[in-house]
Amino acid sequence: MTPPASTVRRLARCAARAAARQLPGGRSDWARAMISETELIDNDLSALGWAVGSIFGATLERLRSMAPRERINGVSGAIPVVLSLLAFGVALYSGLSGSDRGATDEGALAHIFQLLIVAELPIVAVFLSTADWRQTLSIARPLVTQAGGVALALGTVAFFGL
Amino acid sequence: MPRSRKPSPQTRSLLTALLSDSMAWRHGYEISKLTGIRSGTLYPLLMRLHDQGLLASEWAAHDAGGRPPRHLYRLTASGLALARSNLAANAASPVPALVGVLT
Repeated sequence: MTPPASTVRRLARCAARAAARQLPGGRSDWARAMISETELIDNDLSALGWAVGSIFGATLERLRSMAPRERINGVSGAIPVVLSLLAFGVALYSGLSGSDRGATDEGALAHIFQLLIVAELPIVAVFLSTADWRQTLSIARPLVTQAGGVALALGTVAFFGL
Repeated sequence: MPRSRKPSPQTRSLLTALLSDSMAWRHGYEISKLTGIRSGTLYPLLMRLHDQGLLASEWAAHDAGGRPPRHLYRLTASGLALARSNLAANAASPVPALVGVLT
């Protein structure tokens, strides 16, 4: 009987499947290769490292397969989410450390937070201007994720009363 | 007119590694260990070389129960020719990661 897989091994499998999903449709053989290679690496941590790297490789491949306009749209759809997560991190740090609390003026962290949120606006504009409006789902999905990211960041500010 | 681009250091490293035992089929993790190229860079490179007809691939079944088949790679005839010309061109400045692989 095979022993149950460790958490790291399970994470590696998840990451390998995520990498496989990132690859464009015509790369199914390579998607299978990424999953099986991860599975065949004996060391769990090495397998995880391999699978996480494969996500980057698959993402690069996906971007390469896109037309320039589609590529700009894909990147501009993802950047606001990253900025929101950074803003969330800033708010969380500020809330947990209490560094800006009680200050008479807004501190540096508050300004960084505001800049991160405001910087999303032009990027969302680029996303909307390069979107294919015939495919509403491909517009709605990133927008919902972006809105979720902003809600998470602002919710953290509200939670800590910053 | 098609552009003739100089291969990147990673591509050169990969070609040289695959040339070292040109008849052997190698798997991705083995190539990564040999060249120091991580999976995030290696897979796009392998795909590119495969698309250009420079790399052959096959699936090797595992005898041990439950293990998935492994994707293996080796250079095609044109890949070998490119690797040899690349090696000759770079004889004066070998890729640091591969010093010792061919000796």
